Amino acid sequence: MSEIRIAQYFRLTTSNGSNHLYQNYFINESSSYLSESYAFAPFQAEGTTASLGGDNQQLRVLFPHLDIVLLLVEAGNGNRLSQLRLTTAWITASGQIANAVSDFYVGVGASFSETTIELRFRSAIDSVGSAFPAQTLSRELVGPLPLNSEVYLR
Amino acid sequence: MSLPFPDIKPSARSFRMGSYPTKVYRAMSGATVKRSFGNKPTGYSLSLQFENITDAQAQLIVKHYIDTAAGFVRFTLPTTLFAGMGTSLQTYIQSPTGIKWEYEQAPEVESVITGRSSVSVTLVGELTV
Repeated sequence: MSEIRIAQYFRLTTSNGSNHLYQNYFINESSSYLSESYAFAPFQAEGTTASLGGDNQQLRVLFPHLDIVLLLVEAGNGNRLSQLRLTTAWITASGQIANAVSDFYVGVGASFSETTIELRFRSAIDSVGSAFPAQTLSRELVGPLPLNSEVYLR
Repeated sequence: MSLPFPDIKPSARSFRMGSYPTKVYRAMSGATVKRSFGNKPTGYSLSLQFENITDAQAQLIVKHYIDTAAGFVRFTLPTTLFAGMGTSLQTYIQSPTGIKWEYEQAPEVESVITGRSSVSVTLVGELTV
């Protein structure tokens, strides 16, 4: 049987520029990634990171309904002005990071239930990810990059 | 708030270790891959039997259940519950890392004779974050 251990490192930058760092594998411990310390939080992330059609589907990060998570949402103005770097890291049996892949997202809102708080994100890169002319697309050239798949070439 | 379990010696005790949170993917070929979601075990179980204790002692247990269950308060276990067990084994069971206890179900009280009852308790130890 193969065994895999995967930790997710959640680095949220809210609208006031402060960073909130959490990981979901090392329970009640802090874990260091890229010289930053991530506290434990019981969250799970699910969704699509990118698709060829540029559908720009959502990534959802699910937290229990804790007061610190409420503060997290409010610090990002309802998670509409936050930026997320979500790193998936493969952990060795001794607890070291073997490999890691990061994706970047922008917050598009949050929803609440009686037991959970769901933070929703979309990838700004997804809408230009496929079948796009080999040109440089930067914020300086085209202005704010789209958060959805509605890109028009004129 | 800390409300330790009442200091009463049980007449029987049964313990099950916690398990690590994992999920197994089994391919059609039968090959399996197990994914671990955390580095600590959880879901410990401790069953306690208190035979022929006084009603006053039984009341302590019932009151403890009400006090903790009503406020979702997890609690610690006194050493008395592990009477007769070796110290090194006891450390694994009494206070596993990060574990606090709660009632899995309400205590069962059986009347024996006047002023004496038998009480069954099942506790579950969960990770507290």
